[in-house]
Amino acid sequence: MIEVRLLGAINRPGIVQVDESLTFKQLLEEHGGGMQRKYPRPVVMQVGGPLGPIVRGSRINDRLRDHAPQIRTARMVAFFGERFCPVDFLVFLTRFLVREAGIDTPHVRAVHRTVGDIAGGRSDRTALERLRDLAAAGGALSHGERRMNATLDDLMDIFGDDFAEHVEARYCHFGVCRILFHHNAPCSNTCPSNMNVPGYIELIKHDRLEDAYTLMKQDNPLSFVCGKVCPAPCETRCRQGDISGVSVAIRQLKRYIADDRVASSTEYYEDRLPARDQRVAVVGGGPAGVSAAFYLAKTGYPVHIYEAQDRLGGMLAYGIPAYRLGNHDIEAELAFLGKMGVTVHLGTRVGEDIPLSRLRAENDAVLLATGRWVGRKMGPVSLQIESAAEFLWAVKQGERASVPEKVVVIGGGAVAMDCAMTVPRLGGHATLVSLEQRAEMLVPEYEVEEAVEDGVELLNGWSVKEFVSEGDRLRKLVLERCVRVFDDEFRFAPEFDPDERMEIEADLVISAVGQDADLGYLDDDIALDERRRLVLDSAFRTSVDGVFAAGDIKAPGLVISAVGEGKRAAMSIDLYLGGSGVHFGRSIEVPESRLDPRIWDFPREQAAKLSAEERVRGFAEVESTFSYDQAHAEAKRCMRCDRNSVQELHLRTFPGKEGMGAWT
Amino acid sequence: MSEAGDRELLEKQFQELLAAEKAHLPALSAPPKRRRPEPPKLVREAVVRDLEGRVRRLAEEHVFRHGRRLAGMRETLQARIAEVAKELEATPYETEQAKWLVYKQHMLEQADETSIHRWDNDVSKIYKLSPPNAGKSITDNNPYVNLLDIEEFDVASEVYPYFDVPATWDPELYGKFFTTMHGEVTGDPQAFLPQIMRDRQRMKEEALGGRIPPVSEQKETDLAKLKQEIREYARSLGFPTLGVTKLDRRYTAESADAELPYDTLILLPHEMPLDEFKKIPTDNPLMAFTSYRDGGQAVHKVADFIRSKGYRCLARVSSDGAIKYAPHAVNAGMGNYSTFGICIFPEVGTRTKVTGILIDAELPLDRPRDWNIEEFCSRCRSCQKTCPAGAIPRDERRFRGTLKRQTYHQRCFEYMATSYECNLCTRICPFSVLGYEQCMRALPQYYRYNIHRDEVDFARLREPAQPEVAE
Repeated sequence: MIEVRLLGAINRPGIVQVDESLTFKQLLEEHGGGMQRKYPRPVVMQVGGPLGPIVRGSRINDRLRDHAPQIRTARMVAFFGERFCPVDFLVFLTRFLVREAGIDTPHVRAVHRTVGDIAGGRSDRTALERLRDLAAAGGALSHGERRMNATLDDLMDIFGDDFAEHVEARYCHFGVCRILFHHNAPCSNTCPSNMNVPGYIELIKHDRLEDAYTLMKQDNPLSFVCGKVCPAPCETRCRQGDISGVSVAIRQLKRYIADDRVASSTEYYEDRLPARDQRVAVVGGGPAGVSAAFYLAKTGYPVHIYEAQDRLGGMLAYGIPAYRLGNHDIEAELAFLGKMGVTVHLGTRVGEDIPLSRLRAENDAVLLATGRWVGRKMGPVSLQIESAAEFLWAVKQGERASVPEKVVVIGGGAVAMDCAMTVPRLGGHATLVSLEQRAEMLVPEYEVEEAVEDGVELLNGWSVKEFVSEGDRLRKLVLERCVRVFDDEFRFAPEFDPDERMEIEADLVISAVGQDADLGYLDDDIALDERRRLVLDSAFRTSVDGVFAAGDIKAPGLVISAVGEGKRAAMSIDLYLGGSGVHFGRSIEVPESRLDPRIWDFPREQAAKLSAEERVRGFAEVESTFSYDQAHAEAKRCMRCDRNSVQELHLRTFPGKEGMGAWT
Repeated sequence: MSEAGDRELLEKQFQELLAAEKAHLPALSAPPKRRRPEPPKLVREAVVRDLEGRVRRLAEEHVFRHGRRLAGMRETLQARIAEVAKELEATPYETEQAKWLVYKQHMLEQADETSIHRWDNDVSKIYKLSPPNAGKSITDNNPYVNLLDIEEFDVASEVYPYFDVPATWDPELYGKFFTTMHGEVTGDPQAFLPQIMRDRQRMKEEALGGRIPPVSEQKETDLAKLKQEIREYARSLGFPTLGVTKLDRRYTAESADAELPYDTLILLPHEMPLDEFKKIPTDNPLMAFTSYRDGGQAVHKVADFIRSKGYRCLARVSSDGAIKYAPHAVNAGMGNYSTFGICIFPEVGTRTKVTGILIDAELPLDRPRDWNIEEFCSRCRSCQKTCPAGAIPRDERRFRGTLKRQTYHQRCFEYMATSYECNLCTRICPFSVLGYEQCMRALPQYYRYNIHRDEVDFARLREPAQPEVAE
């Protein structure tokens, strides 16, 4: 038996007596109470205190015994979660060495300077080479320095891509390196479109909603739509939420601003740079295409959008149920496009009505933003098995007004949830079958609760094994218990227990297990990879000159991700066409008012919602917008992280006392 | 207390204080002999040397022996030096040279490892020596105090006079101002001030040698045990934590040197109850005064307790500013600097008024340490964003040899004086309201290593590694 201190992002930190033959996994689950939040596995473990080796989370089945020498020198085992930033860790570690351990040597200082440069956004590629050299440094070093080198080495191996991201994109996707944050704020940093969240929240306080809307549009032309449907990744990284446990209702505040503007102003003014003569064609009028078209049009380019359907919006218009987002909302928000010199060709399917090659010949640049429209189907070919994309499309078009009594939805994501919640509104009973446990589903918990209230039955941890038909009629599904979805290495590798089975009746099955991109319209010279995906670089360029692509076409994502990609693709296209930068709109000065000193005491405002009975009666919008008072009360909860200083913390020197134990 | 009575009391106090200070002027011990540095070549070396000798005698008579502010002394000295200079037909430049040599020589002779020099604004307009400064080496080696230039810091007291004293500090107005304010807010003009003044008065009297309660003959010889006993007793009186460090006289008011005869300082932050504290700013803007009042009474009790254990000690109440508590608390490892300059304690955040006890015993000292507060604050800065006076700076800057966020006290006091106190910077601090543990959860988990730093074998880490053994 040995005594170790367990720490990290676990539920029960503390000192425990354990046997050395335990694995990390046993240690974590039996003694540490498992990981906090939604993440079942640690990203990395560290054995033997801050200077111990860093072990990949995938080695969770290693035994403690294998790492015993480290444990004997510092009796600690740490399990770190998704907020482990290797760069910030090294900044911490070097400061710890100098100040707490008293090891203030030129070597430690050199590592501190280098990682400080990376965390402070002042580095280039050479910084990584320098770090590698430093990690390999020999000579007369102390144990502490040697350990630091080994830790540094481990980190560079495990987090190579993340170091590169810090250096090249000056971005910390962990949301830890505060100096690299977009708009200085963790919420903006996390937003895939990097919206200036603290800025527009501040403008609410001053009732400057038009300016707030303009500010939002600098980063997201679909702010109104996002105010209604965005799952708000920003709120998971809200500093107020980190500290008090309850984040600011960012999405609702955005919706408050956009609602006001869209409702009140018919003449919304969009400024533009002088017209240019290079033409840009955008294939697909979904979020990515519209976003790119918006910024290109603002910059002066004549833009043509080619949309196969009868209205703009893409999946927003055809894939999101009306109780979350009505088509009039999309129209209201996209009304500006016509005024900005964007020509929209509705009902024009590129590849059928007009070949892509012609667009390429007639335009100086083409952006492909056709998304993923082909729903994957499970089971046999049957009229009773539909893909989620087909189902939602038909419902929103009004072509489907009823469902049979027993509907089974297969899938554990947002689309599956949309389908499941649509069913009761059409008079059916929905059963949702997902591999994932409830807490693992890729849907915010409040939405799951809402679904249950609407009468959706959840069967979590089950997989469809067999479709049982009588004649050509589907009758039943045979389910098999899914023991776990991901293996210890985080890969999707579901495991089943064949002994535990159940049968459920089904009149209709909706398969919401993913959607694919239809790339049939692409010209032959546009390269695809071995898995028949589009080849794209970080600047959204395809293998062909002048052809760009953004949005779901490469990989599925959120609306806000598509918007962000559209924005960045527009920047890339502008650069390609020799432009001098995309025009995001007139600059808005954000005032600085005082924070309310009771900021931690205010509860989060809750928007009014329809009750479950009212909800399932039809497709009325479930959630309301904040009232004036609610918006002002909620805006007070924002900490205005964007006002934080971007200076690094000072690490003092001890002139004439460098070396071991300078001051201890 | 009537207005006139108030004034009378203050005037009496002031006179008593002055008399007591005069009676307690410390005599400087004989300076150690050092080799006299060669003076630079001057225009008329003989005259300068002659003048230097005579200025030295005058200065010793008038300044150095006392080493402190005394009314009218400066004029007398200047007049005498002018007489002598005239007698010797020295030019003004030569006179200044001679004076400089005297002062510098004196400074060097007095200095040793622990000395600091203070700017004497009143008498000589030049550096003068402070008493021996036991806490200097702690601050100088504290990694959580950003000293950039120790020599520059040595010559500048952290506590410096206000260029314009706020009107409310005028002795004529002081009592009336506070009684009026307290009356308006609480309905009772005497809600706080009499008790606060009584405790201050007792502190001053004891510090200047009068009416100290008897010290027990029975000495507790185990000082670690004594410290633990003080800790437990203090906890029962509303002091959740305690720290021991040496007094660094760069952080004390020069005029209070006579009141601070011992060098070991026990820091006792008095906790404001959370539910009361949350009434700031609207329901109870004067919350801070309850802590001045209750903490002042409690610290005297702790001092009495220490005397009962056989040690001489002097209590310092929190409403008195002679000792800057924040740097001492950081030196004692009780917390780290906040964005607005005071110390954040893990136990209470900034929801506290710090009191202290000077003790005539070598209690075991606490060491500075990292509580991750600096890191947390860099991602919060709520106090800076709520300050109505704009007195908390966004960035740190160089100030008197240090790198710090220096609060603009002029703006702060002006606002406080006109707005029923303020306390918003302490009120918004999440360490005060939500607690240390909750704040730490907002940092990446590896910062926890600082909290468990005692479990890391630093001695082993500092040993040189064998070159061939790569771990």
